[in-house]
Amino acid sequence: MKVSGDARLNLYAWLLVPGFLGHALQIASEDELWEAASRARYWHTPGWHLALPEAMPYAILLGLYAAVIGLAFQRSRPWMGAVLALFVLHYLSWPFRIRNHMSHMLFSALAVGGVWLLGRRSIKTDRLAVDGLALVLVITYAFAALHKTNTYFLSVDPALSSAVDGLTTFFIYGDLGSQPPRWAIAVATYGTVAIEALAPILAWRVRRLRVPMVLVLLAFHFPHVAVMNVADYPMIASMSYVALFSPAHFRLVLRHARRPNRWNVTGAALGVAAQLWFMPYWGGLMAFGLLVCALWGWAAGSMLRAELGRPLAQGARPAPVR
Amino acid sequence: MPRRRLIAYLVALCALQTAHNLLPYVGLRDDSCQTMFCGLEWGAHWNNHHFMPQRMVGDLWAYHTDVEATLAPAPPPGSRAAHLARWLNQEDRALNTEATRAVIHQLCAGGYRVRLRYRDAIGRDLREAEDACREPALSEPAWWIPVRLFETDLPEELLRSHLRPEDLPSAALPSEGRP
Repeated sequence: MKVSGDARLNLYAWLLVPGFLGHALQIASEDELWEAASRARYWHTPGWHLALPEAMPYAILLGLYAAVIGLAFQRSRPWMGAVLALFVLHYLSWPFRIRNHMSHMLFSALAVGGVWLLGRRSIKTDRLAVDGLALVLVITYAFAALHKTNTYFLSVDPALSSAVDGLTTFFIYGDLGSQPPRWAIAVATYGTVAIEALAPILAWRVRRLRVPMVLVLLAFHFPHVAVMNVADYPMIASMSYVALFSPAHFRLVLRHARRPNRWNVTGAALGVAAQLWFMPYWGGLMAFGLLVCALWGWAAGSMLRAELGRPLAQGARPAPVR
Repeated sequence: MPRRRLIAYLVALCALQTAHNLLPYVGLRDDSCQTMFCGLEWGAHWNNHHFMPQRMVGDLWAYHTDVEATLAPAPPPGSRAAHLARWLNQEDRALNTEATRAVIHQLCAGGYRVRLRYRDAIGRDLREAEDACREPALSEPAWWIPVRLFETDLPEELLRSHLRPEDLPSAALPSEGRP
């Protein structure tokens, strides 16, 4: 059973499962729902949850994860619709911190769910839903870049700039040195702003730059997964990368991703090895990072094989795609 | 026609997302506007952004300090009201205005009279409310806001270190600092 005739939406539905696994781990690690302090925090946090029965936000969360499990076993439109609808309710009723990935996921859910609700069921409607996902992704990254254009982030002071601080941590845990070189600091500060502002839109609109830009985005997020213990956000953001591909280009890449080959298996192995090398300790989100890096390595290997590898069938290279 | 409607929907959604992500510059939200790890700092009339202005709307972004709340009658130990009173009376914590309103609203709805002494979030004056339940600015949360927008409470020291002279009304400025 398929979610859609558009392969990009089918893969997006498949990726929702690891995406929500990361979300669950993030909530478990920070909100600590089983602690008494969490109950007190419920009461002193403003929001609509105060007007609901106290069990309701948790019931919605459980319902969301029941739908995610349903989607894992049966990738169908009703299950995916249930996941998207329950996520919107979860967002609007959650009594604790609303994470950045939750706002991105909210607008993504409204893009796909809204287009499905308003449009007739057809491949054209689904393609518009995918365009909506791409737009939401581009806006998300553009604002991440805009907010970082400030005196602290663009300074070279590790006490002020989380880019320099994160990079130093990355160097230390990766045994790359105790202090990053100046060029790496420049890449981490100005490069971050440039990547977030430009890479998603270039990947979406320029066919020749698509795979390089997606690879740049994956490499950019790797330190967040590896040493900053925030694998949930990059996983949820990267789910939407499928929307940066045109249908034809995506089908081409998918042909190389469906089955194991030297490229994608090597990519996945390198991803896991890199995470094992850099991760500073074992924890829920760090272990989840192994899965994220394996998926990204697999995707990177498949994209590279589609771009650089030998033609697939009977020596005939697929026609150029837009 | 249906396709045009769908495109209009997506354009409206993107406009909404854009407006949402601009909220930090008008003091209407800090959580979840893609400001993670960005080092963006702001006060009532300033921020450290290279070109975005800071124009605050309302007081959702602001924090009361030196809060002391007395409830009548005294809440039973271990009750929800006792937890809420303890939250209001935390030492050396600055309390978000909207979180304070949500807490006082619950206490008032539970039949308690709340006497409140606090340093005003924006004017920084010491104030006293004999019955906070009668003051909407202290006890009526904005019900159109679905979720938490800012940290509910912060160390007072962090807030103080964050204040700049331009955040304070002229009356609160030290006299030696003025001509």
